[in-house]
Amino acid sequence: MRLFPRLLLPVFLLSLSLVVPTFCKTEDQHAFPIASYRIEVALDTLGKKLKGDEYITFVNTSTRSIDTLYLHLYPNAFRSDTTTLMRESMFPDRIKREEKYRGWVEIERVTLGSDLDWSDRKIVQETIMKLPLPQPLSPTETIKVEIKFSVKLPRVFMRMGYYNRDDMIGQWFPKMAVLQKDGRWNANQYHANSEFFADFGTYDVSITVPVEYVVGASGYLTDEWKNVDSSKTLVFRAEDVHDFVWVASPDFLVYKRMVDGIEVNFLCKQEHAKEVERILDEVEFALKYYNSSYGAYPYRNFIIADVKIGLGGGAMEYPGFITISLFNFPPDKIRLDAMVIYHEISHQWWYGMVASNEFEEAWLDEGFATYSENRIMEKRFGLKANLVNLWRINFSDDNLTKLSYLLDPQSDPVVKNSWEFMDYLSYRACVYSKASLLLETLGNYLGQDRMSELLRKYFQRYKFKHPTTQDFIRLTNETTGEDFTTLFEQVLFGTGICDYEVVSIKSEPKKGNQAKGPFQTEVMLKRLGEVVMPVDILIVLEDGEKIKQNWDGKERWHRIEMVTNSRIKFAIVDPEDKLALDINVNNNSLTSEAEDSVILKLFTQSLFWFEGLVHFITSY
Amino acid sequence: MSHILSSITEGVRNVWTAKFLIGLMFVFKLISSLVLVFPLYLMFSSSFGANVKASNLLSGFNPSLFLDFVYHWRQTLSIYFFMLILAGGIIIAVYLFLSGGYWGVLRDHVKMRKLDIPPNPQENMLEKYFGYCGKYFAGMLKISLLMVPLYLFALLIVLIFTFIFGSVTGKVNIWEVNSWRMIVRIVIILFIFLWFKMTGDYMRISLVENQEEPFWIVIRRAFRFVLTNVSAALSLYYILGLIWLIIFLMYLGASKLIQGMLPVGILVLVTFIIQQIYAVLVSFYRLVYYSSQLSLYDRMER
Repeated sequence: MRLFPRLLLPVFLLSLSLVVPTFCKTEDQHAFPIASYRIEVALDTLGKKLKGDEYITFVNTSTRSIDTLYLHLYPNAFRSDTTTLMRESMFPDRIKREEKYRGWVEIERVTLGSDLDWSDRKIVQETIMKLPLPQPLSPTETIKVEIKFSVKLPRVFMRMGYYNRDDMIGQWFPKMAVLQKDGRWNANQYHANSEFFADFGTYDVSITVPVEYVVGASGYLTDEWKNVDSSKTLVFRAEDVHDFVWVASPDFLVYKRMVDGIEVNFLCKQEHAKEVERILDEVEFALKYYNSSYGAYPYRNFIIADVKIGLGGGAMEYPGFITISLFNFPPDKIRLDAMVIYHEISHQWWYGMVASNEFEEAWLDEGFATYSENRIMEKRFGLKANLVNLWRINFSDDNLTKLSYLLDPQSDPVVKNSWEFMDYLSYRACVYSKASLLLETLGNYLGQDRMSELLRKYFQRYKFKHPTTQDFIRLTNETTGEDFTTLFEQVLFGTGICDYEVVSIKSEPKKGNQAKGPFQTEVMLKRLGEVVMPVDILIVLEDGEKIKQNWDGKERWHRIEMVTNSRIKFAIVDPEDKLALDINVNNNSLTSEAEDSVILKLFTQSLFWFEGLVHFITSY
Repeated sequence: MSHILSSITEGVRNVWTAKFLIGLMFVFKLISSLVLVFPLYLMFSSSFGANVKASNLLSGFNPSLFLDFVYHWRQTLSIYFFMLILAGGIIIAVYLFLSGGYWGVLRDHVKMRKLDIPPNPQENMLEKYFGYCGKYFAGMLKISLLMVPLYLFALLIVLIFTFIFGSVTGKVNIWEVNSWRMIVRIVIILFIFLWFKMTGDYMRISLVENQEEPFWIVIRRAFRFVLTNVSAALSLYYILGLIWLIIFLMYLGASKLIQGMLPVGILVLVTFIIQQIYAVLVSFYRLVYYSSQLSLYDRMER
């Protein structure tokens, strides 16, 4: 009898340890719904307003009790020209001051539980709302919050708002911030450079719009009815997502296609109707490619909407939903449409399902998306000239990534809070391009198969989770069996560049016989950048013999000395172009005989073009 | 039409008689271009001279090498482009000076042919040429400055035209170069700009023909000529334009023909020779333009 009580506690604790993780653990096929929403919203198309009632169910999945809830109020970023987003954005002041670009969200009522009016307790700081709780919320406990809100839509400026009769409704509802495992909230203001971060949940959203409006939304339609006031209500449900977006316009034409069991809906405008088949072909290719490369797309719908999301066009990604602004370029010559579509669709995996923190580690979605986009462009359109193939101008998507990187390769490290980058150019260079080039370099070292295996594992392990940079580094080391920590630390957390140079090559006869040899051959290499990587060296002699060497790259310089039967013809460091990060490939090789033909061609061609230029400027 | 063809024939003959002008114009363009290209040549040599990967530049454009080239030389290139603009301004000013000599010498040949006076072999043509350069420089400069508002006016006409045309025929995608809407637009825009350019030529002709007159009379006479001889002036201009087109197509044809026929090193050399022959022909053609218009002016004003 005495034994029983002694055993009871450990048994109880053991049971609890099994139950609690199971309750919080993500199931194989579904995300654990941490923040779920039921929203009823009506769109006032004349006043450009939304009126909504929101019911949030939130679970404390951290290890600590919390006494405050944090929510995002993203529309408040457009409230005035002094908000964080407006101050940081690069648009001219006269644009920011215009009244039509104003937008905001008003919280009319907050109710906790079933009937506790908490409206007066809310603290709104621009795009963050804090709700101090009447009592702490313990781990695994659930709280229900009801919010009555209204939103004034701005004219579309950045990602949300109206444009003519189109309404792009993104980041529109009061949205729970992410509560981290240690009990701290990840709740950042809406910055110009940053995107978003939220927990998974289920969304049930009823949208009321005028009857002539066509609506596209995350998730799938579950019900629809007409109202007496010539409006209609559509009910959508989205599961395993961390955001809900919708668009509405009376000008949409809807085109459907089934791809691998996914219903793809293209909402486009009349003027783009002749592009439908082409766009759907690209979407189909992308979904199939990513499905087979990384893992299955789990949702039953996918929406692509032809809308403006910014003053200069642009594209954006949301779970199960992307927006594009079609270019007017000939699609077989300049493939920007395809590039954008592939990039945004890859976000369904990197960010949509593998939900990294876009505020603080943006490279985990943008770098991965850029890398994925580069690979699929190569697969679809070839290695070279896959982006631009116009007259004599051949340009690949890889070239564009490199160009973007070269615009500002050293101002900031890749891993940094998005709003702390020096400017947008640096943000783009690091988060999109440098990150993509890092993954490409890694892929070149590992080989296609091992890289594919790594990305598939990354997706499978972190699907419906919030991975961090350290998670990816650990997984890389674990999957490959090699230690890439130093590489990642240098490239992601440092601002150094990668640049290897063949400084000099020479062969001197050992025994004074100039023609026959043997020769004392020397190759001098230098590491000009701060990034240290092992490199291959290829030495080719005049008699055709090829000699391969390696260098760990740790020292600043490295001398290779050997006795050879013939003189050296040329030496190349990184002959297989594995170092996508190398900032200057022109110093990667040295030949003993000058490339006269090349210089002559460049010189004569330039001379001819300048003669034409002189003829033109003197023909006034 | 007979005036036009006779003017062209006479123009060619006069230029051939004063063929040293072709050499002067070609040498001026060559030296100017060499000055502009030399810094680039040094940069190319440094980056590609001993670069094994650069050999694929022989077969086409390699964006990867050029991106890194531009990044590596970015500071030098910034200075270079600034110097390019400066050098361009100097080249324009020098050509302004030299153009007086072309017009003056060619006008003399028109007059001598009309009066049936043979060229004087004792005459120092270069001295004569540079004399005219100095004599007409001020007038040429004034005409060039006057061309600026004229071209702006031409731009305004083009904008009005494209607006009206677009309103009537609908929007056009600028990449649809084969569409009739785009072709018509390009033709009319070219027509408008070339008309104003031609007017500039006749101002220069009027300058050398009416040397002692005040500047405003020179300009008035030029406009009067252009407006009263529209069809003749334009016909001459566009027929000569066709001749240029033929020269250009011949150049393209020759370049394409030799591709793949020769080893790379020789191909580069032969291409260079063809390009310079083309440059000489273009200089000859420009002088024929000047001379033919002088001849037409002379005929129509008799």
